[in-house]
Amino acid sequence: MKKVVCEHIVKRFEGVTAVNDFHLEIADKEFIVIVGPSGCGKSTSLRMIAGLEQQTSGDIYIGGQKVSDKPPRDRNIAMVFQNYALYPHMNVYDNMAFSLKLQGVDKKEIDRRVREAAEILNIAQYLERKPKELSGGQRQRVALGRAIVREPAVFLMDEPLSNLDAKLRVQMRTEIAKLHHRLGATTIYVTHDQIEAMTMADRIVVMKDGVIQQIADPQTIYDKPANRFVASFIGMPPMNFIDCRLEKREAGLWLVRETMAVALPAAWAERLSQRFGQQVVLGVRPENIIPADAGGPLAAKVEVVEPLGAETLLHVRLDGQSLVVKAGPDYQPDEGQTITLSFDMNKAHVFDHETGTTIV
Amino acid sequence: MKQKKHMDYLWYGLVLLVAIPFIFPLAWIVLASFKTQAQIVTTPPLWVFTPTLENYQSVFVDQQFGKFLWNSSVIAVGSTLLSLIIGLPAAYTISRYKQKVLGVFILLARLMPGIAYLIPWFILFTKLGMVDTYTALIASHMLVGLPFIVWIMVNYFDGLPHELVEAAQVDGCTLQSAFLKIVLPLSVPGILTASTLSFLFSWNNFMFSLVLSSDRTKTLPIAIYNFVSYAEVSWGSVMAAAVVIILPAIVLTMAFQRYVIKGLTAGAVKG
Repeated sequence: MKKVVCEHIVKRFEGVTAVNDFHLEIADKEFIVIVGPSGCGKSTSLRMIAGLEQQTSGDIYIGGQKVSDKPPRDRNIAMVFQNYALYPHMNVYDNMAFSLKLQGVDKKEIDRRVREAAEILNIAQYLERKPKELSGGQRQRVALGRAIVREPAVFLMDEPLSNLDAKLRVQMRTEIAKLHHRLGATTIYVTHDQIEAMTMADRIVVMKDGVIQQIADPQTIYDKPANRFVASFIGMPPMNFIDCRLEKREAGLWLVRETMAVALPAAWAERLSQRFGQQVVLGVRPENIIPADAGGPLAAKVEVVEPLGAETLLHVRLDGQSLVVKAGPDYQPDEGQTITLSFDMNKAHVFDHETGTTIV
Repeated sequence: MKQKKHMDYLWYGLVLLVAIPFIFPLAWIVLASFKTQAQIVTTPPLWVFTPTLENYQSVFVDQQFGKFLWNSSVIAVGSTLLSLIIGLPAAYTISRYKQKVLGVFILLARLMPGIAYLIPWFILFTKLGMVDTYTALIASHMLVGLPFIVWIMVNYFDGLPHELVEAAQVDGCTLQSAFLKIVLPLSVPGILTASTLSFLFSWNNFMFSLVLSSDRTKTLPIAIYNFVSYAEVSWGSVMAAAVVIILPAIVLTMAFQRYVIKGLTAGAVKG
């Protein structure tokens, strides 16, 4: 069992709380992605699991063993760093063999494992080269190789793709996912890129200001965000937020702005019953706003049209509020034109105006 | 194109103009060391002559220069090695744990005029019966070598990516073994710079050796100084001795000049 448990970890740096009550149980073979903006504490959390940073309080267990006070070398982990951190004075082979040599593994076994990993990662022809003679993508493969040969309990990856160009990043993303399927090792992956999180993770951990906002599988994170932050962070282009007032009228529940009024599904009545007359925030994803030339209930003015080939993004202004609408590729209204919109309310969300927590 | 060539000539002319005052005395020393006393004092100076090895013979056989050469080597190598053994871990710790204040204190020891230490040292080493021992000389020469090595190496270590040590720690190293296996091999250029400069300081040092050494541990600069104090100045021998003392300095500097320049500017420019 290669479970990882982080039990209520806290990390303070000189009075500033970088990570607060980080509690996470990771199953064997699970691929966990920790995602969040810069400075949210995601890298610090990973470094505490690695033992490179000492937590202020809380405990860490790897494979059922408490490792809270153990140095990195006794945690049976392998780590891939953002800037690769390959040893510049060693060739690729020695970089990959370094940890095995330290463990005193038999030379033949080292050779077998290094060559096997090199084969998997397609770097067998570069074994004699120094890191500086390799491209960014090749270096990242070597860094992965160095992690694989260890056959560790857990892989830790700290933004491993962020130094690569966009195209290579997509390619390596797929390869890391394949590698995970092949090796089945428990992996904790830190990134600020929500697409990496969505495509690779079994479960995503969304962090902000040192606090976990939500832990769930990618689809749940997307469909049922725990709060406004998660809703805005995951999804591209981000969710639209509209400040409204909740009103109960004869015809049911309505969200109202100056000139805009949206009817809410009757099923939501119970959950919203405490908030009649209050300010709330309506959240609608761009693909859940349906444009129509005529007949929709909401009139909006088109400001910018961005044709992307497979789809068209419309930046529109509705009742003084900017919204992004994702439309089909054929729908390309003129800029300045007034169009009408309707919201798919079954996929919309309502957030608390003050705290941002999800109400519906 | 033609104008560029003219500029080149002008440039080389200027370089020559600056170089001559530096090279001339050196050339004169080397030439004089192969001349007889009479040839040396001839005016105008002789440029073409039959070289003689008499001076070198006098220096090594009559004056036992081999012994002084040995003394200087032991003290210079000894003080440099000890300074490296103490200074490298110290510099790494200062760099890694950002102990800049400590670094400044060490540099302060270097900035104090050396002569300020001489009297306390002399009293101390006399009481301990250590005057005219290698230990006393090596320790005194380390006063300059050690801060020098620490200061250069702190800058050098600052430039090494910290992740390399972290990667080594994850790979199974302790902090100490990561230092030995990763940090040190990557710092060879910096270490060469610092060692060369520390070695040259000790090799050329006159003041500390004058006070703390005597017959047993006399170093080259003191030996040459003693030449002059004899009744007659044997210029040929002095010049031959000067060549012996200059040679290692020139060879070392030439061999490591690339690193020395790089090391001295380490940390000055990012990247």
